[in-house]
Amino acid sequence: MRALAALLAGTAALAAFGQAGDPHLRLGAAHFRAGRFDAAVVEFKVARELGSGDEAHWYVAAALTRSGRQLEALEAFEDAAELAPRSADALFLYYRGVACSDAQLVVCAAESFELAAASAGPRVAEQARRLAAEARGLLLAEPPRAAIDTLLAQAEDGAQKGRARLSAAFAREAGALAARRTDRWRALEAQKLLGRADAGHR
Amino acid sequence: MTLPLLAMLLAADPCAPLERSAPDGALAAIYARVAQEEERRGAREASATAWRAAAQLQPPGGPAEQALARHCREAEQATAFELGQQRFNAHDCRGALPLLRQARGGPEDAAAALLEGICAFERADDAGALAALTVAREDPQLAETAELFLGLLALRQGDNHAALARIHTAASSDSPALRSTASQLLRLAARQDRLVLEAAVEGGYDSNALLAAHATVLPGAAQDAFAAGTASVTFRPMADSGPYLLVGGGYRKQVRHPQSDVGLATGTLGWEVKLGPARASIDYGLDFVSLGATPWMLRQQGTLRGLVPLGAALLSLEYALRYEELWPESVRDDSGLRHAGRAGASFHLSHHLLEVSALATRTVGVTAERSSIEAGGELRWVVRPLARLDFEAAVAARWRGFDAVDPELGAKRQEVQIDGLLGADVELTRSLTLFVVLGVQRVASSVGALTYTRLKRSCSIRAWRCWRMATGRPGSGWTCCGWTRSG
Repeated sequence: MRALAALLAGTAALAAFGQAGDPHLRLGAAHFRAGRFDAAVVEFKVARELGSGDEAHWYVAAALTRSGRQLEALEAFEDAAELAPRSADALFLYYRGVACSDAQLVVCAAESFELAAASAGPRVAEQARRLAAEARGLLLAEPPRAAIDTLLAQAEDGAQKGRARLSAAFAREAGALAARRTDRWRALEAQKLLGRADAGHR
Repeated sequence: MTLPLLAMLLAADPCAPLERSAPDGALAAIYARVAQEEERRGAREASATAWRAAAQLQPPGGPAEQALARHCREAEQATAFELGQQRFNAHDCRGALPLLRQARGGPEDAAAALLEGICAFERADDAGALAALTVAREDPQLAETAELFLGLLALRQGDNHAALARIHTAASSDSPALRSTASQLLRLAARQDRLVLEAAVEGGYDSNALLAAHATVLPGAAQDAFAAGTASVTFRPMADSGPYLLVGGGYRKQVRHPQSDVGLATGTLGWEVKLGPARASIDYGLDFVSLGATPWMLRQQGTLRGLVPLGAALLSLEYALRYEELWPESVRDDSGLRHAGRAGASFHLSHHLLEVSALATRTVGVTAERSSIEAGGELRWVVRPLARLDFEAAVAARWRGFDAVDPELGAKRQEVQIDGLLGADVELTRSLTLFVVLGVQRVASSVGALTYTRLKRSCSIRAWRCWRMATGRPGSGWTCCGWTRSG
């Protein structure tokens, strides 16, 4: 799934990035199109620091995804979703799906790709739908307890390291998987961890 | 704003010469903040890119430029280390040395120091090796390897006392390869002592002492406790290259099966020469063995031996001519003359030790039906997955053919023997080790009655202590040594 997603991501980026008005966002987009994702991260972060529109949060997250910094990307998407929910366009949601998929957050990936498919143009929508279907396919069987245990351990680890956004992403995924089990394995713990993580970054 | 942005877009390499733009302190401060954040997250490339952007917006010599210079220097050092390591792995120390020296002070300082020290040692630059290895020794992960090479350096400089102390440190490493090398070096170091006295005592319990998988000359009996003692004197009048004499003996006492008590008295007179890194020796040995407190065997043996290090491998070649005279009536016909040749190689790969050998033996027995030819090979692998835990797997295959029809069996014997062994050693303490061994032996013989498959199991615990004293050196005295598999 990841390879296909990356291929599509690169193609889609060429078409969609670089339309922003801020010079740092424009430069970041140019770096992004040229495959210089580290430089893109820097420019998008500068744009964010300068307060160049809410979309800078999403650009940072997308560039981190393409830089292979998945955990930081997850944190950045959590930030963006909270601070700039209205700037979430189809391409950003698509990249969120890629980041979630890379981090093995299947529910998050499925939901993000579905949201992207609902508002994207025909080519991106088709790919996003396919990836969403792949993710949904993984969720047909009852999720194993071990997967929830792992996610909760990652959430705990994130909380201990002061990475509340990351902890929230893992705890939310654990809760979503627990809800798909008849015994709701450790659902309460996931809920508590999510509450703690949400309180942590406020 | 457009020009500097365009310049930055074109300059993909953050360490390319700076192209200044109009100073903008506020924007430079933002880039610097991003650079620091990226640095904290370990994103070196992104950090360098941000420092570069900040430096372009500051006057020359500003803090961002200094930070960028540091980044670029570290990047160069990291690249130099990678290239140096590649040359080192290709055994090109001459090419590796300047790169490794360039890498010093960078992110891989200790590792570069270790490789530089090894290369300097190989190129006979003792002062350079000492300086670099002393730095590498400060890194806990590299300390044992650095100690080993510092020991080699001391050995070359004739400071045998310092060499032994350093190599002893490496001999207690968690890495079997390092321990094995150190143990071999300890024996080399011991060669420089003219007179060496050694003594050891051992006690333990074995669930199947007959298997004696880890023993060398002392078989035992099933389910038994035992105690053993050995002592030896080695005399090398010309230190490590020249004649040598070894005289020793030992006795192993079984508690429940005294018929399996074993005594050994041995003497070896030989000559060893060093030919560069290679060694060769010739010796004559005489062994007396008793079993159950009665004389069992007298063995005389002449041996030619050569050892050649080749990269990570140690190649060995050995030929022995042995005459064994068995005294008890029941086994007297097994006496005979044996020609035995063996070629082997051992490879040290990180925490793994791999040994492979081929052997051929010609036995000239008392009668033709006791005479035989044997050929085969052995493969042994040792790995230490955890500290104080070794796993070993070994397999050996041999073909044996006898010269004539055995009148008692009415057939001429031909056999194929395959042995497999899985073993684990747990070092409970420095001198207390638990062994678990599972072995299988399959013999397929042309005589049906001699075909069999046997499963062997053994669990034993052993306590071991040994002492060593080398005379003729100031401050020499008895030193204590623990058990090591390789030693």
